Formats: sequence, structure tokens, C-alpha cells
Amino acid sequence: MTTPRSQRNTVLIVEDEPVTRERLVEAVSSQPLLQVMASTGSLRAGQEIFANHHPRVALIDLGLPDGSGLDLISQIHQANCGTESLVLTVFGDEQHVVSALKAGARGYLLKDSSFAAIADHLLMLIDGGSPINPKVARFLLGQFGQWEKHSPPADQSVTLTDREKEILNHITKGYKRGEIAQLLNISNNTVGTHIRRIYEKLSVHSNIEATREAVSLGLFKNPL
Amino acid sequence: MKIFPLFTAPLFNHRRTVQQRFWLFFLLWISSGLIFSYAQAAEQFPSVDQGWFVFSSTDSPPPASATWTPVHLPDNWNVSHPNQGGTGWYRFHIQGTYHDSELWGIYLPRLSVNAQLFINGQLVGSGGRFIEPVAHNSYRPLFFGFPGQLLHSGDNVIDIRLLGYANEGSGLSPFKIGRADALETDYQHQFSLQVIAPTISFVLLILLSLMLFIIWLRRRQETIYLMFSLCGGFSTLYTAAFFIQEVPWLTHSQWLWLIFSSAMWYVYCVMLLIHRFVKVHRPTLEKALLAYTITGPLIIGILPSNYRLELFGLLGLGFAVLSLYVLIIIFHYRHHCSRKETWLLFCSILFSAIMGYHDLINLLITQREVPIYYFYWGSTIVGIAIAFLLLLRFDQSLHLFEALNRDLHHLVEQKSRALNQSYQERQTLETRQAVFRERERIMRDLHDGLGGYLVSALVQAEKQPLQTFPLQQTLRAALNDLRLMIDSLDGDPIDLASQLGSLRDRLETGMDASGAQLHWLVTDSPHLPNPNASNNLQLMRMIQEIFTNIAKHSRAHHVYFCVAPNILEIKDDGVGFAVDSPHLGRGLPNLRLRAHELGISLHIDSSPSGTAIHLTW
Repeated sequence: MTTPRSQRNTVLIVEDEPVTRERLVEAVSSQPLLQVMASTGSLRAGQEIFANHHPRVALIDLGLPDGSGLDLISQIHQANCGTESLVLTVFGDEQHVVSALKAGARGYLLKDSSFAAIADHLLMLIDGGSPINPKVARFLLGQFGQWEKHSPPADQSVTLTDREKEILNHITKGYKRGEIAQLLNISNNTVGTHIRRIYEKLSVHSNIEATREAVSLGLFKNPL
Repeated sequence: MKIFPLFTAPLFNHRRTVQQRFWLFFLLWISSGLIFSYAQAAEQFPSVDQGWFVFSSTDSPPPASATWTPVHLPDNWNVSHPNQGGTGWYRFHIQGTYHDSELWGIYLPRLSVNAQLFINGQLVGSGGRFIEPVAHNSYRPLFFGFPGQLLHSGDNVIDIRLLGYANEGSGLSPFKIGRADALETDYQHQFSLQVIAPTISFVLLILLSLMLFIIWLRRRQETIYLMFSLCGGFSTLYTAAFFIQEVPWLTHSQWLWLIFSSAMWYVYCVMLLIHRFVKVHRPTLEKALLAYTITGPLIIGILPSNYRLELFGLLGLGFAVLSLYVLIIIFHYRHHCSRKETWLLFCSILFSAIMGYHDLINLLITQREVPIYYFYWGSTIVGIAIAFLLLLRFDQSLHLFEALNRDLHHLVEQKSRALNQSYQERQTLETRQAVFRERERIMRDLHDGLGGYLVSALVQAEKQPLQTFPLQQTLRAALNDLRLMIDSLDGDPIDLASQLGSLRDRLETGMDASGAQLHWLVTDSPHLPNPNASNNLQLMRMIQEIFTNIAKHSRAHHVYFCVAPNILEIKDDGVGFAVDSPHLGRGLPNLRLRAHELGISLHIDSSPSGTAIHLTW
């Protein structure tokens, strides 16, 4: 475990594979706007660092030796202290990414991404954007469609707007953020904001679902 | 109820309804009695009604010196000899000239209880036993044929020995004497009315009672069928009195008691049956009447027999009131039955009640004529009517049951189909879930195991870029191929667009390295002929292979990737290649093989200004 260095654009890396962790540290350090606050291979250490220092960004692997990275992602999301989390994944597959997004992650990062890509992703996140891929976009469209079909929510804040659906549709076809901005005649940042908002809605929905499940299991005495 | 069509079509015309046939039968039954009565009345013979009478227990005609008293027929002992019973002798003198060769006869239309005929002192016929158990001829006419030689010119003495009982209406009505053939016709008509008709009623009631009793045995909860069987049983008992002459073991007094008791039980059971039929629940009344029906005959059985008939008549008054009550009940609760049922019940009970009142009057009001009873007509009509209605209800229940059974069968079929479908869906879902869980497990293993090692190996190889560049390439290729496999397994196999989208990053990395710019144009998701994970992977590998070749050999600046539902086009502005060249290696044959396996066509158009590859399906 390394010592925390700064609170500004600081990055926490939680990855149990030392070689990969080292490379990520190197990649983050290569970008002057970013600073590695700490890197660790255990969940407990990651939780402690987050609780004490609130980094700007946390890169979190899910399969940690002492628990699931999802717990840390949830903790960060619930703390709502300005820390953004990205899940570290080898394949960017739906299973890993979606569970992390539901827990409150803002996106994902491929472990073997180039230094430039890693830096781009982190800066995009700090600027208010959220990394996304076609499979995740397709999942989001399907998930929201299902929610609306089974129990149409009255609150517009938890349904997708037409624009958001349009953006997700373009993403599923492999279009990049810039291309989508061009196609829809909006700015790059607006596309990023839309994606970020979609993630927030997913998180809200996931919380509602979790609450419903808890009520149905009798964990809460008074249903909402 | 349309009665009119009854008379416009033959009896067994198929167009007739069951109800119409019943009404026709009912009318024929009634009319047959009237026709017989009319026939009897139409035949005119001189009746003998003036004679002499003496009580004498002798077996042969008493001598002229006996205490004969003049008598005028009809002679009812209730009037002429109250409180007296036993053997009485009637003597008649007939004057005239007769032909010896003719067969002659004497026809006694009404008598009670039994008679013997003597002509000129000679016995010519007997109605049966004169000692207990005696023969009963109270409800039947008697005819005695004899050869004409027995009659001679001048005065002929006809003696009729009559067995009678005190206060039972015993006696003799005017009789006829004449040629046997002419008198016998008259006798046969009366016999039909008084003996054959009750016999037919008896058989009919027995059959109906048995039939409904069998139904009750199969359906014990439907007590109404048992009620009818009991009614039928009691009514057959007293109907039997009309045609059974000699009853073994029973004295006249016991037989009479049995007949009248059965009539009372019959009325009681009819009331119960009507209660069940019109769905009226009056247990207190039923219990009270049960007590009345039990105690009445018991008391009569204990009391002396002299006033038995009058007592039965008085008890019958109670049942006359009961018949009125039954009629009122039927009318009052008519909404519990159909219109047809109400009318049929009401009319048959009314008819039966009228017959009963007639008989009751005969019992209670003494008259000179020897009484005759008609109640069996009423019970027969009521029996037929109720049996018909019960069978009709049974038939309707069967129809309803069949209809319900059909509906149930249909419902069961529907449910079975739905269940089967649900089972199939569940099985499919379970299979999908099993596949999904297995896929999740493999992907987790790949991610945490092989994937992690590959990334780690790649990172380590990247640390010495010069020495390990081929190793780096191999590791990245392995990682990318693994991603390709995972992409093809991930999500919906029909949604190829998102898999192509995921591939884009990796293709772009290769293009960037070779200095080419990738132009992405995906209008809609391609629709492969057989979309599944394996076919999708094949297509992705083909695309990856094409892009690898472009990066390696084309020296292109721009690469265009265009996808529409039925076509995929990859175009570059590179230097091209000779498609038919034998030195191309395994790349192109592999592409063709994969295309063939996918069932899609591959077309390559290459020139020095660029290459266009079309995949169509």
C-alpha cells in the first residue's frame, strides 16, 4: 500500500494483480492532471483509504481477495462525496460492467488499455462524462424498456428521455461520442452529460428494485 | 303449451316433442274411460230389480218357507239392513219362453262382496270363496253363462247368494239376464273399465316406481325419487284391490284395512313429494301428518269393524283438506317450477282430488246404489304426471351434466395446453438460465483467470518492447480473440450491431497503428440468416481477419465499414491485390470457408486503387 499524496484529481487504484496495478499506477502518473493517491490490492484497505481521504476517482477491480469491489463502489456511491468510481475489467463484458453500474460506478476501464486511453477515460470522468460501450448501451435500453413496460414510473426522472434513447441507440451501433454529437448536432459534453444522467437513473432504479426486493423478502416492516 | 298440434300429427311423429306425446297419452287415457262408460250406458238390456231377500247361512237356496222379504234393487245393506252382515239370498222369478239351444247369461254389474248364482235351484256360477280369505268382487262385474236348457217355460227361479259385511256398502245392483253373446259385450265393457284399466294402471305404476327407485339407488341424495317410488308402491297396493279377487292369508277385514291405509300413506307421500318438487321446507307439518297417517289406521285397526268405512271416510276428510293444501302450495310456489311443471302438477292433483272427493262422498253418505270407487284413476294420473316430470328433470340434468362435462373437458384441454405451454416455456427459461449461469461462470473464470494472466503477461512484455514485440502482438491477439468470443456469447445473438460496436475499438487500434482512418457507418443491425453465438463469432472473426489484412498489406489511408440489414461492406483505398493469385496464403480461402459455413456470399473486388469486400445474405 502506498501513502496518499493529494486530494485534488487524486486517483485510488484497487487491483489485486500487482503487475496490472503497477501499470495502472504508471498510466495515471503519466498524466500531469492526475495523481495516484493510493494503490492497494485489498478491499478493506481500499475502503479505509476512501473513508479517510475521498479521492476524486477510484479504479476498482471486482474480484478482490478479501471481497467484491462492488461493496466499495456502493460505499462510494452512498457517501456521495464527489468521488467517481470506475470498474476495472479485462473484457468490458456485461456481467461485470452492469453490476458495477448498478452499484453506482460511472463507467469501466479496460485493464490493458493504453496509457493514453486510461488518461482519456479518467479525464472524461472528471469532466462530467462517463465511459460507455455498445453492449452496456444495449443493456441500458433493454433494462429501462422492461421497467417502463412492467411498472411505468410516474416520475420522469427515472425514465429515459427520447434524446437519451437516441444517444444509447447510436452507441449500440458503435458510434463514438464525437460522431454522435455531430449526428445529433450537440456538443461532446452534452453527450457525456446525457450518459452520466442515464447512469444516475440506473442507480436510482437499482435502489428502488433493491428496496422492493427487501420489502418482498420482509426485511422492511413498512413498505414504501 | 300448444295442445293443438297434438291432433295434427301422428302419435309417433318425430316432430312431436316429448311433452306433446305425454299430453296425447294423457288425453287418450282419460277418453278411454269415458268411451267405455258410454259404451256401457249405450247397450240397453232389461234389468231385473224386483225380488225377495232373506239372510241365511245355508249353502243352497233357502226354501220358500223362509222369511223372505220383498226387495228392490239396488239394495245397499247400509240402508236396508244396517249393522247386519253375512250371507244373504236374493230370489227373483222370471216368466217366459226360452229356446233351449241358446247360451244364456246373467250379468251382475255391481255387487259387494261376493256372489253365487243358482237357476231353478241349480248352481251355475260362483264369484269365489265364501269363507275367509273370501273372494273380493266388490269392484268388478260378474258374468255367469249357462245353457238355455236350465230355463224353461213359465216361472223360473233365480237365486243369488251374496256375501256381505255390515256397514261396508254391501249389496246388489239391478242385474241383467239375456243371451250370453249380447250380454257379454256389455259385461266386457264394464270389465275393461273396472278391472283391465286398474290392471294397466297397476303395471304402469309398478314399472315407473321401479325405474325411479333404481334411479334413487344410483343417486341416494335425490330423495324425491324415493318419494315417488313409495307413492307408486302405495298406490299399486290399493289399485290391486280392483282386480285381485282372492288374497291369500288376509281376511276381508285385514285386506280392507290394508287398502285404505295404503291410500292414506299414498296421500301423505304425495304431499312430501310435492314439497320436494316445489322446494318447500315444512318439517313440522310433515311430522304432524306422519303422526296422523300412522295413528289413524292404527286406531281403526283396534276399533270394531262395524263402522270401519265411516271412520276411514272421516280420516279421509283430513286428506281432502290436505289435497287442497297441496294445490295451493303448487300454485303459490309456481315460480319454483317451470310453467309446464306447475300446470301438469296442478291439473293431475286436481283430477286426483276430484276422484278422491267422489269416493269420500260414497263412504260418508249412504245411498241405495252399491258404491263404486275411482280414486285409482287419480293416483294413476298423478303417478304418470310426476314420473314424467321427474324423468324430464332427470333428462335435463343429464343434458346439463353432459354440457358441463363438455365445458369441463374443453376447459381441461385448454388448461392442459396452457400448462404444457407454460411447462415448455419454463423448461426453455430454465435451460436459458442454466446456460446463462454457465456462461457467467466461464466468463468470471476467464476474467479472473486467463484474462488476468494475459493482461499481466502483456504488461510484462510491454516493459521490454524491443525484445518482446512479437510476444506482445501474440498476447494482444489472444486477448482480442478472447474478447471476440466473450462478445459473441454476451447478450442477445440477434443484436449484432452492439457486437460490431464493441469490435470497433479493437479494429480502430489496428487501423491507428497502420496509419489508416476508420469510417464507421452502421445504419441498422445486420440480420444474419441463422443468428446465434457461433455464427456471430464466425462473422466477427471474418471481419477481424479482413481488417488484419488491410492493416498488414493494403497501405490504405481510409477504411470504410458499412453495415445494412442484408449487407456488410469493407472498403479501402489501398493498393489492392490479385484476387486469383496462388501466393495469397491461407487468409482468403479461410474467409471463403467461413462465408460458406455461414451461408452468406463473399465477393471481393480489388484493383490498384483499392479493395471492396461485400458480404451479403
